[in-house]
Amino acid sequence: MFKYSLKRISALLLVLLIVSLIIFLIMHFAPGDPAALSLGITATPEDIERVKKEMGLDDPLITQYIKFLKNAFRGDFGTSYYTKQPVLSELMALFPATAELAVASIIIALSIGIVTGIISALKQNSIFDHLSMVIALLGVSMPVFWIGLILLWIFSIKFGWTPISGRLSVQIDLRSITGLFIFDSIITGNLTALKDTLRHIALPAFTLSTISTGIIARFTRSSMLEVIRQDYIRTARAKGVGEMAVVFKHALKNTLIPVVTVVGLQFGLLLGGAVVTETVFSWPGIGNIIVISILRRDYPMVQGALLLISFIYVAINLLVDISYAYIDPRIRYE
Amino acid sequence: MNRTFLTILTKLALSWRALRKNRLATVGAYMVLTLVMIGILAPWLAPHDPIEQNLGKPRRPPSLEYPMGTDEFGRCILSRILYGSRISLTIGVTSIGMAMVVGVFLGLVAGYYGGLLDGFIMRIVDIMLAFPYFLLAIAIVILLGPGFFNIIITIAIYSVPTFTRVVRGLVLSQKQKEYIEAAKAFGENNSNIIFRYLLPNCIPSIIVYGTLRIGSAILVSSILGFLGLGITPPTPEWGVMLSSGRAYFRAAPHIVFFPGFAIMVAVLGFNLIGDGLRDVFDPRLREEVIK
Repeated sequence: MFKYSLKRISALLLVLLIVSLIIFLIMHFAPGDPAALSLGITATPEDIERVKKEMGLDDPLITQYIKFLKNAFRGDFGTSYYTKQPVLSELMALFPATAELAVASIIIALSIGIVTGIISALKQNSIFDHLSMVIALLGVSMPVFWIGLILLWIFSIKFGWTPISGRLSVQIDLRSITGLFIFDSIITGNLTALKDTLRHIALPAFTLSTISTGIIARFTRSSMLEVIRQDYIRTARAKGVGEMAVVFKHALKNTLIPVVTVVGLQFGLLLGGAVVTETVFSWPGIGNIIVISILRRDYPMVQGALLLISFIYVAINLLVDISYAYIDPRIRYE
Repeated sequence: MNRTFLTILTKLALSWRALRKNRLATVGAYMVLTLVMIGILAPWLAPHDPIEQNLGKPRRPPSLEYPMGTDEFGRCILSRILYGSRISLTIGVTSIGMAMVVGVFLGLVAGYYGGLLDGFIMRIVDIMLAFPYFLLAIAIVILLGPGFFNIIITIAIYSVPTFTRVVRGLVLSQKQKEYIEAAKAFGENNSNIIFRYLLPNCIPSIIVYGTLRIGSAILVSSILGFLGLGITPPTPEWGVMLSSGRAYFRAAPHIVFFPGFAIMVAVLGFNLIGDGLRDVFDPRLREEVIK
């Protein structure tokens, strides 16, 4: 187990190294002169020359990349052209918002997806089965931003039940400890803030979860269909075990093993989907800042945000792989 | 080359017959066919010019004159959506076509030769897939900049790795079979084995993945358009239309509703065909149907 984990971690480090190289190169060759961009439109050619020297932009590419890596290891991702603040601290301030949104979405997607998948499999070819699979297919085909905007129109504009944007109403006071507002309001016992946060997160989280719910439902369904036909399930039924116990005690555990692997992939979808969802709901997270920074040509910010998200994604997949190998020992020997 | 072509043709004919039995896939095929017809006939179907602004009639709700209303510049939304099908279909089909050629070639080579070449190609694929969802597309678009051709190239590059991975897996399983052994025993050279024996047997799966990927290519191009990173206005791309209508959607939700609906129909059509094809080619699922 230890050896397997070690092997996986070293593979991960290599992938991250190359991902960082790709992101570095993209930002390097992206249109626009970083020196001019960081100074703004009022800069004189002399200023630009001077800053170019300071930023080391005349150095060979490989030197620049090594410098970039060295700085990144120390947690220095450069300074935002726009806010003039260190990129890392800006991103760290935004990160809890994205984390909260992604976790809320995966919880919604897992609960709806697994329940629907199980019922569909147990009642195969029923109306429920067909209907839920059609909805799942629709969910995969609908653009997230469209779902988001339609929900926003119905719930915020027509009925006024939920706020249009943001994470917390301005008039509400919440002491931020972790930056995860739901968590913070629970541990500080601030019920007004909790209610307000939940109202804010409901639509974005549900919108984002639609990407994954359908996939998880379809996956659970086919996994359950396979498990329910196994010999040990027949044995359990033959012994006279009740249907509920057969499903929940015997079948469910083995159904969910393959579902664990898709959860890792789903996080990738959710992190990417967060870019769109956060833009629709003006959710102040990493995804939102990526789009804003691209349009502002704030490349250090884009670079840092892409690196951070790729790192999280790769790390989550590693965790999923290791836990999968732990649950199902056959994987380790492949 | 004749025999290869015949094998492919037979496989296509067989799959078409099987596909027609699948009701959802047939619906999908009709949806896509309709879209193609709309794209071709757009100049005759569209009631108004899709680009010309009519500032006197901004944000009109749907009416007889403008069945889907007008956008913030008074342009007819229906006409823009009809013309937009050309753009989305072209992007979807061309980008996936390009990705398919490159991805399939790399997959065939990696799977057949194995060893260092395989390791090299697959590491690159792994790295491209290490970017969550379409963030790779965003990264490429930063480099290339917005615009019609750049979006096609972006989505093509973004889609290559999945094709490579799928085809390599297929080749690995086909490589062991007797017909390849036989071909080798006959002294066929490597490129013949790859293109005349392995490729035709991978075609069905490639078509399944290709169709599903066209749907997702249309989706990604609309996402890029929506984020303001894709095709530039005033081109009537559906994602761009939705994005520019966002500011007014409180009072004029139709500006947002119709383009999104068009995206859904296009993506759903390709997904239905893809799903249907998968049922046809996935024997495990087929067994399920027979039972």
